[in-house]
Amino acid sequence: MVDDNPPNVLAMLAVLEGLGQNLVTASSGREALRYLLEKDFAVILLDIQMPDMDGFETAAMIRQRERSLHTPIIFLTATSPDKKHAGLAYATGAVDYIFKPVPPEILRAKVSAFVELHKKTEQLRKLTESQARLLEEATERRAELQASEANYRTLLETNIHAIVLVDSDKAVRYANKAARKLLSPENEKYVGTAFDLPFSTGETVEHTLRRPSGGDRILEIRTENTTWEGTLVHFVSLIDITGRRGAEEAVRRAQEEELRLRERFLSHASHELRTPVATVYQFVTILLDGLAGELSPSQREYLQIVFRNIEELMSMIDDLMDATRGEAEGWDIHPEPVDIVLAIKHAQQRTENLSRARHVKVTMAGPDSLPDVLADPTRVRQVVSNLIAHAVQHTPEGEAVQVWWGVHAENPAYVCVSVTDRAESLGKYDRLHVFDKMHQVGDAIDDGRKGLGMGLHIAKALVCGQNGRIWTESAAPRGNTFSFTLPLSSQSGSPAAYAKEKQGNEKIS
Amino acid sequence: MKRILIVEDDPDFLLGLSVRLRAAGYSILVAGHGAAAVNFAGSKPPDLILLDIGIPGGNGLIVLDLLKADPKTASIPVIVLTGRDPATVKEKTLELGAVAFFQKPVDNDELLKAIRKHAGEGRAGDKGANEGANPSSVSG
Repeated sequence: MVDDNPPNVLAMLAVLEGLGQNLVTASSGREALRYLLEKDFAVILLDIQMPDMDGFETAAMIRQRERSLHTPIIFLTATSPDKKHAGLAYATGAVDYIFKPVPPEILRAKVSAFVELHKKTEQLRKLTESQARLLEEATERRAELQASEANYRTLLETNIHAIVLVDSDKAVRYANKAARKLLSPENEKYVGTAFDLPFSTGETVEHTLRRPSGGDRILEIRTENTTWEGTLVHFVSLIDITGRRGAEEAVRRAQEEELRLRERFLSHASHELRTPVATVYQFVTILLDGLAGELSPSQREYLQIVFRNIEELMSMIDDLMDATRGEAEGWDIHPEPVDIVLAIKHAQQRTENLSRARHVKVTMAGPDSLPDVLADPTRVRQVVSNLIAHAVQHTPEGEAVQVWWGVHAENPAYVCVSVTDRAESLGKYDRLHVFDKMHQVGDAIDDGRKGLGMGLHIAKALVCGQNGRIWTESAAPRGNTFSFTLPLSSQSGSPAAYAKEKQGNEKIS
Repeated sequence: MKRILIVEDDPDFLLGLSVRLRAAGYSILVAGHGAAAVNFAGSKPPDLILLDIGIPGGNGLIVLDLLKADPKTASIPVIVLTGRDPATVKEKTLELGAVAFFQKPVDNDELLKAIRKHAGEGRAGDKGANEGANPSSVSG
């Protein structure tokens, strides 16, 4: 409100107070211009008749400034309007014209209209500003997205593995450089063609890629689902494992070669060791059999020691060859129906010299006959004699090793054979490892001769190779039992039938 | 007296085996290499041949094959006795016509049992072959 007459100002203040707006009064044009420098106004009420600088001059000055260029101006005048005045007023940018005395309702209505207009304009300005800001942010984000997508594409494009994106119609949507080189070396248009390699989401498929130019490649094809430009696609990576396979093949060949060399060495060593041992054996037995004349008692005794050691040496050579060969190419086992009791007795006879020398008795307990088992007779003998030999070697002088056999109590389709020694109970560690190759219980060097430690290892391999089971149990403080089972031969009546018959017998008795 | 031809290149083993078989009542003939074995068997067929596979002058398998191919020697039973690994040669020798296969060192009783089965008893009615026999030196 710009008016040089204080009562007029007071009157207008009274009228406009009710609008709840910020009312600023100025008593001269100059003062008004000063306020206009500092603030924005919704509307200016400007008295025309003022000393010093009148309303028109003031309005002209207002319009010269950028800030107030569009601020609405309502002129107030006491004189009745003439055309000249009015024209001048509008020319200086007035929007309205009110005569004094100003009717309060009209003043209030006009001012509040301009206040509303100003509010709306402000809102519009703010809205426009925030829209501009949003637009700016969106633009920035799009730029970021484009940058990251560009990064992604670069990663795909330059990946050393071939990568193909295949859509749900199995058409190629994208293929990176490595993929194009691998799958479309002639530089034909590859994108859009049908993808003809096997793949399965979430899985790895191996495929040999035949190439007309030769040089087939072995591929490992891995597939995951992903989105690409807004649609679901299969992300197929093709890893060339031709080199890896080649290396694996070379390793395999080297291993085969090594095995072959070992076989040849074994065969040679076997021959070279056996002939001299056989010769010593032959002459010792010739002497012992009296074929070269009578022997004195001490000559006989000493020759028997030689004989026993030759036997031990022979069985060690057998074990060594067996274990090494068994590992390399599997055990030579020819199953047939076998009289297990006879096999056990033969095995005991084979170890007689050893047990006699160590002053260990071997007691035998079990039925005279059992149904035949399905096994290799030579191998069964070997298993039993290995177990007896082990037991004899570990039993203190003067004590006895017990061999016992029968139909397996838990499963009558099997025969169970056990050998119990009188050695100290095996510790937990030894029980776990007693069947390992070359395992020695305790300190073998301080403990006297115990053999190569192959016997139990071979026994286990042979029992398992004949569909049986082998295990050990220990009693405190002495006594370890080594037991094994072998299946009954179906020719001795089916195991099931035998089991039934046995159950029947038990019920009757 | 039954005649056994031993084809064996190790002189010590040969001597031991000869003493043993002579004591059992057999007449022993020896050949140190393959060619001699084939020639001898052709001219004076023995009752049984004990053949070592690993002999010089031709692989023992070839000797076996030649013996079985010649009608004059084809019916002579051949027992293979070798230091070789049975896993590699046993099947082959039986296929070629050997009647038994033993790996050195062989148990004397088992070997004699096989010889008796295929060539008959050494000396008819000789029960004391193992006792007091005074072996003469091996004739070449």
